[in-house]
Amino acid sequence: MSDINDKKILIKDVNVFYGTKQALFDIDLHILSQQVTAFIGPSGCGKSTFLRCLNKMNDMIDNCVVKGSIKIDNDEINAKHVDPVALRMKVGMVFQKPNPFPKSIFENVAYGLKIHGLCNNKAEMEEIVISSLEKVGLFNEIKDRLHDSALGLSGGQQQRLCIARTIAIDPEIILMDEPCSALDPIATARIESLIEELSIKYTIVIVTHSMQQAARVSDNTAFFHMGKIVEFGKTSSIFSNPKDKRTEDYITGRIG
Amino acid sequence: MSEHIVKSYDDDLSTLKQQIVQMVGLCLKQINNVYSAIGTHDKELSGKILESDKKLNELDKNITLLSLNIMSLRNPVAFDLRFVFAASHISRNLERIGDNTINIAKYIQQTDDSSKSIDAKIMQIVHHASEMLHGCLQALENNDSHLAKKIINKDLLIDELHYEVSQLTLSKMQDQPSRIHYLHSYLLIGRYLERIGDHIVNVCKYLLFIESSQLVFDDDDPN
Ligand SMILES: Nc1ncnc2c1ncn2[C@@H]1O[C@H](COP(=O)(O)OP(=O)(O)OP(=O)(O)O)[C@@H](O)[C@H]1O
Ligand SMILES: [Mg+2]
Repeated sequence: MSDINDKKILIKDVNVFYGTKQALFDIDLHILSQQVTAFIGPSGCGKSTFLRCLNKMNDMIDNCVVKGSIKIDNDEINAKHVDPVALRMKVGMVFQKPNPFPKSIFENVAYGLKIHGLCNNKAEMEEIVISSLEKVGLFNEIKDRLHDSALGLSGGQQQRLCIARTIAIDPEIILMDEPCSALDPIATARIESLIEELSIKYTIVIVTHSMQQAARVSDNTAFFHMGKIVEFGKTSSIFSNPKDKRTEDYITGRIG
Repeated sequence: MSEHIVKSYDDDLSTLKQQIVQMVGLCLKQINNVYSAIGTHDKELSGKILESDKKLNELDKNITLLSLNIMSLRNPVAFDLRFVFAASHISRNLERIGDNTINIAKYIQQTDDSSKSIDAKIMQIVHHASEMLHGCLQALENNDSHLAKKIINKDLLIDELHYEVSQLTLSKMQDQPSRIHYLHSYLLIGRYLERIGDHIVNVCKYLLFIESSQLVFDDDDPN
């Protein structure tokens, strides 16, 4: 694992197209190791598209073409030989809507461990499942229901389960696309405090529509506008003294 | 600055600004009242000033409550946050300027016609303070941080004049010990005027903060 303040991800000259329509233009950015970086910007500006570039999820979209260089720990992930499955073990993702599998709570967390063959025996698997559930603060709430269906959990519990599923395979980077948009303030606060704890060990990139959330949880913020990054910097300075008028208009709720 | 998507947010912010402008106007009026009372030793002055001071206190209260409201309900950020934060500090300083003019009015009544040279110096300070405050109004209305900086630097002159008033008064006290009781008022008037200068400087520091996000504290150099 790299040192704090290291550039965990280095993005250079990334352009993304859906067919003939260009969605991202000349993106240059770095994501610092063991920090939380937030992507903000109006709907359709390309946040999710860019997030998906970081674990090659766009490869699964038929007409999507990603150009440019994305290096994680100095390795080019857009190189031909890169195995997307191995990459996604290192770069986990949590989605907007909690998406547990229609299996038991235990099976949900164990799933990744099984398909990646990460455990030598049942005891080891159980240990990892439980400690992952503990890390997201879910274990005590559901310890008697481990083998019940995950679909019986509340939205907030499901989202924490999905995070547990992600961290069980011990990634280095966690991508989150609006992870709290379906949650109430208490569940949201839980996830936010979890993000804070996780950032001690993991590098986290989060897309959010809540300015307050970006301000609360992130160290760095990138403001996207019409497929470009208009401003990137320390969250505290983006929210107290943005340099670009478009950023100021967006975060203060003005008509740009 | 462009308009907010939520119009009532703009309404709140412009109410805040209007009330500050109104406070600066009232302070200017009080200071100008002080100016015309110095030569005449006006006994009515206190009454006039007390009346408009009530209004100042009321505006200060409104501004503080409205700022608090905007902060809790609208989560202001960036320029808006700086403006709302600064507004309550500015109104507090303006309210203090009002309090100082009340004190001055009280002591002006205790002066008489026999110290023209001190009167003249005091009028110079008051004139100066009035010009600075007038500048504040312009700086506020035009978001002119350049002007705010200039006003901060002008406070040095008030400090110098205040020193001269003290020296002049002290030497008169030595010459005319029987009049110490009257002369003593000039020391206090000078002191209150010097405080007014400081409050105007504070107002300008917050105007600078709104524009630049740089908070200037007493020991910092605003340049
Ligand atoms: N599969 C796709 N095929 C074609 N165009 C797409 C596809 N996915 C996204 N786009 C387009 O790319 C642009 C960026 O979309 P993206 O989903 O990245 O935006 P976003 O910033 O995440 O928006 P939101 O905040 O609404 O989630 C949009 O114009 C969108 O219509
Ligand atoms: Mg999106």
